[in-house]
Amino acid sequence: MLFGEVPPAFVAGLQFLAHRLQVAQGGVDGEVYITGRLCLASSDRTVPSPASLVLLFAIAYCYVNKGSGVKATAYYRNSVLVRRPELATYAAYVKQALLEPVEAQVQPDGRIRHWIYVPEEKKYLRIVTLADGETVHNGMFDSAFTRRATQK
Amino acid sequence: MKIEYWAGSDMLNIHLVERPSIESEEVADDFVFDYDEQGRVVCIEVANASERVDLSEIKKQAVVIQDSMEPVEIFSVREVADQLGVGVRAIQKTLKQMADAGQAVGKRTGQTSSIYLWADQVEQVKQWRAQRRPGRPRKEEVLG
Repeated sequence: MLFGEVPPAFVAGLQFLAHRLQVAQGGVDGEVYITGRLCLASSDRTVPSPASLVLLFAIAYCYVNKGSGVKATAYYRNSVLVRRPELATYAAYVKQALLEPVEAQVQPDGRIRHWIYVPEEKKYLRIVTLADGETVHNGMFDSAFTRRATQK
Repeated sequence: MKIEYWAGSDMLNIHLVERPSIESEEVADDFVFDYDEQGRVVCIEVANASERVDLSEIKKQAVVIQDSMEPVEIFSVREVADQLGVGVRAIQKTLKQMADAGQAVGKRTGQTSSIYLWADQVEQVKQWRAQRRPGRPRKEEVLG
């Protein structure tokens, strides 16, 4: 009871979220578990730890982004994805590159380059968007950036 | 060799061989070389082509594509599965059934790679699945 009582609505919301995410739900008195060990909150008004709250926000973030596609130009769909099919395999990284790039740079033509590390390939992915920062126009595994980053 | 000029986005692609690329390198500003698994150049991509090269001669040999810059949302199979609350395999099966029935949707980006769907194709998949419930057909459906 570090921060006082948790409102029942919060617990209900958390349980609903966990249910929608198909997280294992069990234990006594409606406790919500992840991997069966970590208790986020329970109906006996246990206060969730700060670490659990961080996890909760991470889950909520994933949930909001679940099922949403990515905006792209015709060139990206019909040319880039065909020539560089691995971009389709790493579609999740394409989305993540726009949200959390390792580095971003505005090109002279106004388009924006975003780089992200893909650990499965041990390479950096470069995603170029239009000036709006969200419409994907080009993408590639950037060998020059990978070399530069690994030399650092 | 195939030359494509994407007029809307001002991109020039010179395909040396029809092989997928696994890595790329910007060798000079706006000039990107695509390499295959053996490190051979398979395609040269030129961004801002009208500024970088003399297109008047190239256009005579190139396929000129009038592409729109209007963004369209595209979805991976996983994203469609997440939207519908089913597994990836279920969507893969649906796409196969649709293809077998002559209503193929989605663009396969390579022989072994993932499929991408446009927003309107996602609607087609939803409609197809709504019309065809999983499992055994109901008695009244069979008997009329």
